[in-house]
Amino acid sequence: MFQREKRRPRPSVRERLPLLKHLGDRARLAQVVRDTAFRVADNVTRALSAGLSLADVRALLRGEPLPEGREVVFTNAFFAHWRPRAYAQSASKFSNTFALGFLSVLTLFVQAITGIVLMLFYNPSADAAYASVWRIVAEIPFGQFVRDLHRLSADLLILFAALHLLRVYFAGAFKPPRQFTWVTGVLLLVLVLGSALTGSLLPYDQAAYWGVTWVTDALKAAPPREGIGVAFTRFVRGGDTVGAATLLRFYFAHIALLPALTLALLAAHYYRVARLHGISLPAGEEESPDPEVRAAAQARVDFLPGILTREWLWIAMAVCALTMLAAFGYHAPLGSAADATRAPSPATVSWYWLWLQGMRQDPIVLPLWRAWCDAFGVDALDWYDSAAWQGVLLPSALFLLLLGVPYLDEVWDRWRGHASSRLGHNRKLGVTLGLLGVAVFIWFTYLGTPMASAPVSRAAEIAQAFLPAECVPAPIPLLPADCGVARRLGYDGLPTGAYELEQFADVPPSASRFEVMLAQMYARLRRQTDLPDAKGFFIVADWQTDLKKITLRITWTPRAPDEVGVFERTMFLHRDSVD
Amino acid sequence: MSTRFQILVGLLFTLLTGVPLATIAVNDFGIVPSSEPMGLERRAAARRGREIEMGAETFARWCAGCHGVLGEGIPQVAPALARGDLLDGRRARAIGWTAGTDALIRHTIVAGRPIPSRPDLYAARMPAWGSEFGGALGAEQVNALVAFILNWRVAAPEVNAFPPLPPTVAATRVPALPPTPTPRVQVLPVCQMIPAPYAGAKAPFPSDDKAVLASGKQIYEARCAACHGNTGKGDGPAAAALNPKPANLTDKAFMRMLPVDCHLYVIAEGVKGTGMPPWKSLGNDALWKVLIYTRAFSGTP
Ligand code: HEC
Ligand code: HEC
Ligand code: HEM
Repeated sequence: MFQREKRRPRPSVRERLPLLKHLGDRARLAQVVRDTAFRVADNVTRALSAGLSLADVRALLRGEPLPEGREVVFTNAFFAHWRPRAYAQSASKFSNTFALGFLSVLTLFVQAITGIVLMLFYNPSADAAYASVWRIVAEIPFGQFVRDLHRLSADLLILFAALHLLRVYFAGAFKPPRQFTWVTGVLLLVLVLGSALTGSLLPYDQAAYWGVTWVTDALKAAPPREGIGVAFTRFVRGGDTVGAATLLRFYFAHIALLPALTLALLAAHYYRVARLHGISLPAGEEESPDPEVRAAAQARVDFLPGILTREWLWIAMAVCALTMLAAFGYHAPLGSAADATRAPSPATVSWYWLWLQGMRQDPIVLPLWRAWCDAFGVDALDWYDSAAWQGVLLPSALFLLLLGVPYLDEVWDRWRGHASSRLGHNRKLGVTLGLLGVAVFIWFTYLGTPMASAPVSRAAEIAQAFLPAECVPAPIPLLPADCGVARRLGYDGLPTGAYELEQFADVPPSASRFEVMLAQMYARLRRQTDLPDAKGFFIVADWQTDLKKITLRITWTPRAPDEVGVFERTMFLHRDSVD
Repeated sequence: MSTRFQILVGLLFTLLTGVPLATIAVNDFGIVPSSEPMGLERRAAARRGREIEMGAETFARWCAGCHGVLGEGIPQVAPALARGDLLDGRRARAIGWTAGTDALIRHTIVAGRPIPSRPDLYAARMPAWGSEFGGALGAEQVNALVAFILNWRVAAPEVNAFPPLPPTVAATRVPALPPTPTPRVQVLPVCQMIPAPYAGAKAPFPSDDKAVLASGKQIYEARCAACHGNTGKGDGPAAAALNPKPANLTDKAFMRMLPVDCHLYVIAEGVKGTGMPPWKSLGNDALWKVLIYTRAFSGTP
């Protein structure tokens, strides 16, 4: 049965209906049924695989070589010829790329698919956006799952693309002839970050509204402020503040403009990687002094079947992991509706903008500049516009620097008279600078977290830990947001009453979680030294049916005549609202 | 790894992916009955809960100053909202509103009541809060307020906030005697004639007492800031919908035309025909405290 046939002439009507002829002969009939079933299956396989017959597939799985010419038929077919026919054995090893580019593409596809589903239900108007997201979460079957996947794989896409950049950098894979591939990669990363920013506004909750306000505020400082900064911010926002116009243009950018650009650039990127240059071989093998090692590194491995089945395995594993996470662990956050009159304090942004927030604290240049001014007794502090430099000029310069890495590297090699080499010990400076860059990035990220910034007041800091106005996103991807201890205890975990924290100085080990929380608050209050005679009160009141009002009041002896000496934070908690 | 092994393990993972998908399907479609709400039902309840919480916050911020912290109303200022007839539909029927209580409350919040229904009972005017009318609240905040107000339904007391006007009252009401005019120069028109208890009143507190200023600030922020703005410039969130606009209390020239006794008079009695409500019910001390606090905006003695 498994015989490779020549193309058959078009069957006549009689041939197509062979059953009619053999109705009487049972053995013959069975034979005909089997033949027909096989032919249909074979045709379907050919259609789907763009040319491979069932027999070819079987041969591939058994590791038999395809007959001369069959491969060409296959690899010239439309879908299949996107992929190279064969890879270099050494380059296709997992440890060469860690599949980071592959995973970036995979998460990008997940974004496209889940994004299209979300688009069917999302409504990009300022009055209806938030409600439509809640509708996706609470009324559409699988809606929350799709939304979770979209947010989860967005975070992962940024993570994978950033790690991919590091991999390429440290492997020296950007060196000639792959310089321009690097440039398309950096642009892809910028587009992905742009998609993340525009997408983050769409739920139109407090985090969305104020996160975007914060990031676009940075643009205002672009010099000259009046001419360019303000005008450009207005262009991005469609007005002076974030609002309905911003939502509409971000929506357009998120679903049309940026995806189109990303697709075009990805095509260019992948074409250069897969068709033009191939994935670079491991540096050690490529530049080995041993000609045999060099030759072995060039050995080819066919795309079919090994690479394809391996990718199938990876896809199955990644999709399974994403699905498990979205179903059982990770939920995309959705806070209170955007309120332009109430900024959450402290401002919080997603983990991938923290470095920018850290930079805007200006931890390096400003102190140096100040020291210089003091040392020489010059009054030049006003000359330095921290917001412009740290918020716009330096990040732009860093972006240009990143784009130019392969070209600077080439110039450097030429100037020092080195031959271009990808081996680590031939590019000590490059590797050192790379490690330094990663360290500085992590440091800035830390400086951007609320942990690192001085709190408005000790009392506010304690309130933030127990009763934050909005959930605080974790500084590390995929960790859940922190919604405060009180919310975690939930409606039933907070018994009605007024509690003086002092009475909970030592709680027995048998204490309830509520008492432990009061004890923790008291410990925080006692540990701080800013507020003299600080006293804390925690009040849980039944406010309405199934609604409690929770108040933390901290009082202290005023340190200045105009100080009130009272801090209060209230929060409302409904029985059903947990999680 | 052999090709066949990869295919098999891949299939295994694909099957495994079915487990979370099936779990979601069971929860979202409610296939297996359970006593606890699951899936969609549970998230819809959470959504309603979050909405009520947001409404409670917004109410405490913008509405409690007139309607009372627990929606119990403030005599002469604004009616109770936690009351049976409003929430069970009797009020809607009484005024001939057919679109349901939910819509009555929503539209009252969004558009206010430009023409007061009972100026004799509530001299304040319900401002328009919807952003489409220049107010401070977007659609989501209004939705949340409606959900919060409706949540009083279960335990709302019977309060007769809008007693019927006996027809005879209007006819027999005797106009108040014109108060003795005290001629003044360079004062606001309302200050031309100040009635008896107010004319010539003197502050019972010194104007630089920290405690007085602090409690004045508290009253001001709770009752007045919605219209006059936190800094007194007349730019509070409810101001946009008012005509005439709330006075700019930081304007020195204006405040000089408002002598202390007249100032007390306008706060206590309001300004007829404008959005400025009477605040008598706060008590004399509170009025003086907020007066002293607001005069400090412009530094007028
Ligand atoms: C300046 C004082 C003031 C403020 C602030 C105010 N209201 Fe009112 N409100 C009134 C008055 C006065 C009425 C009665 C209006 C009438 O019937 O003429 C009223 C009526 C209402 C009614 C209709 C009651 C009924 O029985 O017909 C609702 C609902 C309402 N207000 C909700 C709100 C909400 C919600 C807020 C906060 C966003 C708010 N109000 C803020 C003064 C105020
Ligand atoms: C519902 C909005 C509103 C609230 C609440 C409100 N005001 Fe006014 N207020 C006004 C308006 C409108 C005017 C302007 C009246 C006019 O043009 O005569 C005004 C005017 C005034 C004036 C100047 C009198 C005048 O004739 O212009 C004073 C003083 C004043 N308000 C004090 C207060 C104080 C004190 C409070 C709080 C206890 C308060 N207001 C609360 C709306 C409000
Ligand atoms: C959306 C983001 C991106 C996607 C989807 C993507 C995709 C890919 C893929 C699939 C490969 C094949 C090899 C591999 O898996 O590593 C690749 C290689 C490469 N990428 Fe990317 N990439 C992205 C971003 C970037 C970035 C940010 C850079 C660097 C700035 C970059 C530079 C390169 C280079 C130089 C290669 C060739 C590597 C080699 O030959 O070894 N890419 N990319």
